[in-house]
Amino acid sequence: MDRRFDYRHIICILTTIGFLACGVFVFPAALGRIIEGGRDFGLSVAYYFCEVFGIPHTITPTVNNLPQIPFFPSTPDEPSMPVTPLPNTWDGFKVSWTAYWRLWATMDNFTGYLSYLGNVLFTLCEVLVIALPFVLILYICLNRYLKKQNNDYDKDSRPLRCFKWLVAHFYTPVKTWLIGLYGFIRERKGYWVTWLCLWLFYFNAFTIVLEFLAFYFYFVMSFDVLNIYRQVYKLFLDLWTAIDFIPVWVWVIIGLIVFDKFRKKIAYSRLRHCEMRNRGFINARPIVLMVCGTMGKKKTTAITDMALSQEVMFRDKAFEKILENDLKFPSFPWINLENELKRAMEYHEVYNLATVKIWAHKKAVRWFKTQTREKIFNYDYERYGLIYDDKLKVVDVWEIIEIYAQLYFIYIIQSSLLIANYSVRVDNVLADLGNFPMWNSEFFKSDSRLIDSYSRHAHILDFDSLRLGRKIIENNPQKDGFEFGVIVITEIGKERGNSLELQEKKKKDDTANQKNDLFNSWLKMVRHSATVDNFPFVRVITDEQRPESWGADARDLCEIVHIRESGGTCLAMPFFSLAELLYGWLFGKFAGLYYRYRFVRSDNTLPMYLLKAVTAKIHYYYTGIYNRFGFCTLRVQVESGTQDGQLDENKYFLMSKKIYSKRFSTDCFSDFFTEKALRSPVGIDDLREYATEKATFDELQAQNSYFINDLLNGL
Amino acid sequence: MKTFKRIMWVLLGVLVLAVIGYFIYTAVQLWIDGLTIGI
Repeated sequence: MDRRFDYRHIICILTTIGFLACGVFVFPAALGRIIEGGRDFGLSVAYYFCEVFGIPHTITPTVNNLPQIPFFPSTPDEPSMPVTPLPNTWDGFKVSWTAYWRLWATMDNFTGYLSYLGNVLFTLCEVLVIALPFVLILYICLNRYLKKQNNDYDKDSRPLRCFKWLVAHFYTPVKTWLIGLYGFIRERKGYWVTWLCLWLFYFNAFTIVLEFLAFYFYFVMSFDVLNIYRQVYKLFLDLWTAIDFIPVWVWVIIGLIVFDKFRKKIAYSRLRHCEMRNRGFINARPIVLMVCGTMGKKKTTAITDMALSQEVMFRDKAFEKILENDLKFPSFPWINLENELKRAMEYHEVYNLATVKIWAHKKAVRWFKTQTREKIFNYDYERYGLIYDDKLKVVDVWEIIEIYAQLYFIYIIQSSLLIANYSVRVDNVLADLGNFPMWNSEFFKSDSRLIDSYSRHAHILDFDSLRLGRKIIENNPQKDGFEFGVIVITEIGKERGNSLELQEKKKKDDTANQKNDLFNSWLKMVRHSATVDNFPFVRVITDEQRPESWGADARDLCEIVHIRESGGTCLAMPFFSLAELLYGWLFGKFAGLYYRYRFVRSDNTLPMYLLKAVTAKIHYYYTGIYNRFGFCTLRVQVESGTQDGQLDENKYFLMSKKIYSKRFSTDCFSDFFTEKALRSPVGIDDLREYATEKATFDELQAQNSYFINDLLNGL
Repeated sequence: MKTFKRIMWVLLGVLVLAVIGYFIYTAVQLWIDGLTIGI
């Protein structure tokens, strides 16, 4: 173990001494104020209890007294109170209020303000004038560079080499050292908590809390409304220390940070609102759902999004129903049942809803043989009873145990509830302290750097598990594996076909086909295997380009969601227009310049290096904001699967952070085409070209086209 | 159209800031005057 003394402790200790010295020399009033706060609090509490219990007393609360500043006077003529903009009495405030509006409405004040704004603009212009020569130099340098052509591949210019040397020897060491110091302080809670407490103390934060509590205890007994203004004044006086001490530029930075947090908060609430609207949309659809649209309308994206929301909704529903059943026997020790069920799951005694039922049934049989508390999860049935009347029917505790166990099984399964014919990443996290686990299903705040560490993926859909009749593999061990969950099938029409495509297939064929596998019967009865406590935990979500591509027998069961229009990406975060304008302007300029430069030169020069670094940072910020808070609206129309009803207009929202964060591959079947392309001995560059703008006879023949062949056969 | 909308939003933002600034400026003026004339 390394026990060497880290020199950074000395820096931290010196900083602490410096902060303590600040307390003595810069904030001498803080100690006095906290003593006063403590006194006010103590007296108010004493006053409160004496009044509450009717104890005779002579306590006079001091919470309405003005602060005594300085608390420990060193010289008799020291000023007693800091000068603040707020008058110290209500009457004074009323006078100032009237004076404020009088002044507000005067022309002199307005022209004074305009002149002040003019001065601000003048200062800005001065900054621009100072910055302009540097911009001009950069521009001239770049233009000079653009006039010289070279092929010096990846060779650094002399100024760039100097710059990199300076960065490597000055900037990087300082930056590394500062990052190290920051990490050092973060790891040592003692230092930063002490500093935080010291500054909160200097800025009267503790005093404000004490004074608030003191006034609360005083007010609930006295209802002294007249002295509320005094408290506002005292609060302002305490805050004035920080307002006065912190320089304006720091306030501007604090303001910008707060403003940024505020707009991000709005953005998150808008995204969540969109997600809730999506869930409402999905809930309004039947169990089987088909999304249709032409290529590029984001069909697969939409069904993936729906499946992700549906998975969360299933868990939420299971959670909700667990509580409902819990309350039917409020004194039942559900934790004992949950622990036993988890143990059974570990031993693979329980692995689906059917085995949960058997597990619960076995427990019931054992209990009915000999009725003891141990055999009913230590439930005190003699005291709390074994039946529950919900005014519709009377249910036995064992029925509820069976339902509860099934719901808990659905809730606690840690792998995805999605079963799909393409891969979908899910990132819900189960937090478990050994008691009742809780799911974190937050889509919008996940850290993209960490998602791989806790992500799971959808289960591979074995179509044999959806067939009640013939199967591709008759002895398939997974053929009876599906019970509940979200089935996601992209390009369903290509899998199932329609009556025209299936004309050649026969029901009595020896091998499995779409006519003898009874997939449609399964689809019609799918909810039977998945219903727990009268709720079907199953959903089949599919997509196809045209509804007619899927046979009518199955299609009639579902609702068809047509994606009519896919809008551009919008931003949920407000107040971003200025950044958008600047980014659009700068990026446009940079892109033009950069590719002119790339065309002419291959070396690295300082102006281009700096310009590219700055643009890359801005681009990183801009795309980061759009990826986190961007969303796109789909205009959808819903119609019945029988296609004979009205089309209902609706909207569906695709939030970038939720759906594009490594969720699925848009080219989910690309591996097939890669294999196919690998077998090809030729590429696009090797394909024959037409010799002129008119195809020759030989060139037409080379097309291997049905049409051309027909023409040629007719010759 | 998009750029025009963005410019309009930026101008609106500047206007709102200018209006807020006028309220703050008046308060500061009143405070300075108050200190001078002793309100």
